[in-house]
Amino acid sequence: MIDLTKTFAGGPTLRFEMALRPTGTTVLFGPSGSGKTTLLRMLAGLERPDRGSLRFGAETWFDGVKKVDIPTRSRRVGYVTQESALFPHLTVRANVGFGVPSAERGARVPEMLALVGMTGLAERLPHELSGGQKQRVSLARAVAARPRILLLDEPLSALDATAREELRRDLGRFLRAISLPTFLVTHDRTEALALGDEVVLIEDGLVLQQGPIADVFSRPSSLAAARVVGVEAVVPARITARSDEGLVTLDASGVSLTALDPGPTIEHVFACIRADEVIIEPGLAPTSARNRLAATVKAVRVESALVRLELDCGFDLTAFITRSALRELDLREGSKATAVIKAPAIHLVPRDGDGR
Amino acid sequence: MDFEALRLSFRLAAATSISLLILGLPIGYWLAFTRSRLRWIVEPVIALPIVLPPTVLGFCVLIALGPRSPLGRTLEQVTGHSFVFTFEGLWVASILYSLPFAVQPFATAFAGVDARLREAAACLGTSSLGTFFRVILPLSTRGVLAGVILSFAHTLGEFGVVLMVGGNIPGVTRTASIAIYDGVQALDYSGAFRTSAVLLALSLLILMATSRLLGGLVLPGARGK
Repeated sequence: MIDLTKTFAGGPTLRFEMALRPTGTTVLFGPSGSGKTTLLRMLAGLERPDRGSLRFGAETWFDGVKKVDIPTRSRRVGYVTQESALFPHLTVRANVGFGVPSAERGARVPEMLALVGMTGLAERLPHELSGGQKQRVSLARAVAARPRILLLDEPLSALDATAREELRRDLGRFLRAISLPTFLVTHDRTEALALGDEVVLIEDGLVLQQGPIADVFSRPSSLAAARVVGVEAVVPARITARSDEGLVTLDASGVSLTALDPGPTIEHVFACIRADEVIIEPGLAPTSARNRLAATVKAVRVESALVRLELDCGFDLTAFITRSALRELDLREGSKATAVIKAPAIHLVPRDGDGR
Repeated sequence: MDFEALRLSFRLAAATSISLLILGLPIGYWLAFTRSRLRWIVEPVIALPIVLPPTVLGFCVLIALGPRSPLGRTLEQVTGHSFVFTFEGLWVASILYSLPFAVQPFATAFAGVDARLREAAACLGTSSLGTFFRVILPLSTRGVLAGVILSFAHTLGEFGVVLMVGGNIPGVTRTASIAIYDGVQALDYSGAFRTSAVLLALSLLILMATSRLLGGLVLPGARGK
């Protein structure tokens, strides 16, 4: 259980209340400056909360009333930051073995290096590594010490686009291989969707919403939450066919969709469809046409100049239309309509493995 | 040239800088990382020898180690002899006198180690002591070496403190600088000149080595942050 408050002199007060999940990856998602990193540092014991309590399983790590504050070194947390903090005077091997009892090093270090694909570079010094390689070593070092929880603070954001994409894929595999409860701080949607099981939306030091990632991203519970995640349907899907033209056919909750091929070998994805990319046509669609989905209007919400339509087309989909369009289409709850989505407007986020 | 005095000076400088290496590391660590308010008293007290006339410091040590002070009496009971006008007395005085020249480069070097590295070590389950020896010290070798060399060189050249605490006993407390003064008093200019030349050349060599080691001038390091 997490219930922590931290006030910065002359700055904002952060107040976090949430459950600490025992498995899987929890994404702390929110804009820069929302307090995600501070929360992570409080979990690690690197930042001292002003009030509240922090319990990990049966252990109390922090209790402001009972004056409990377990020091960082006794919490056994794996912590990886944006800029890797490798020990510059030690080789890759010595870095990874730093937190490992010397008797175990001989077996543990090569195992971890293999897991992050750094076996051949064990004798290098940190300054001889690329940014992506440094992060791999940081991950290996954190996990080698057998932490009970893994804390990742924007581990990919200092990398260039190519390295980021590559490491993101490998990080997904890595996290599944080690199966440690993980907190991942990010403000990158793709990263959150690719790696997270649960998400906690954070803004201005407050938890806006918490839940399974596709649910929270598809159905933000408040306007504030929607502002943080954007309005976008996030549908778990599987790639069933690939065409020569660079298109793929998806099975998304029983609905067939066509999108751009995100790359070979990828099978499980989240299909993300932004509300302003959805076009609404009156009447029901011919069944076989590409990305023309038969939809039932579940709700009509007027939001300033725009109207937000909540549709059921086999999965939940949100669309924005203008007020005049609403009048022309004559839509209300229960109406039938056709939702049209261009193939490039379906953004696919690869999910490693079994599409949890 | 007074070889005996030169040898004594080197012995004193070596004993002092080795002692300061042992003593200065914990003090430097404390100064670099403490959040205690005591810091605002401890830091100036350690730096005091930089501005204090050596005779004042020497006089204080003389009184403190003398037979009339509780400290002096205790030391005499434990060791069986008085500390004033002995090599041990010089050694204690030199440690105090050169303390800032060791502690300040140490503290500056320790504080310069990236805080994230200390945090990383803590997350990996390493104790503060382990972090010091495995991360902070290896990344501060240049600063530590500079502190040791500077305190060595500083002790080599001290005069006022030595004269106050040790007097001028050949082979016991007569260091090179006192031998030079003595030589001039006795109009033995050529002897004083040779001893001076040795000290001058050595001091220059030491500073050149330090400068080379640190890749720059020694003085800012010597005068603290």
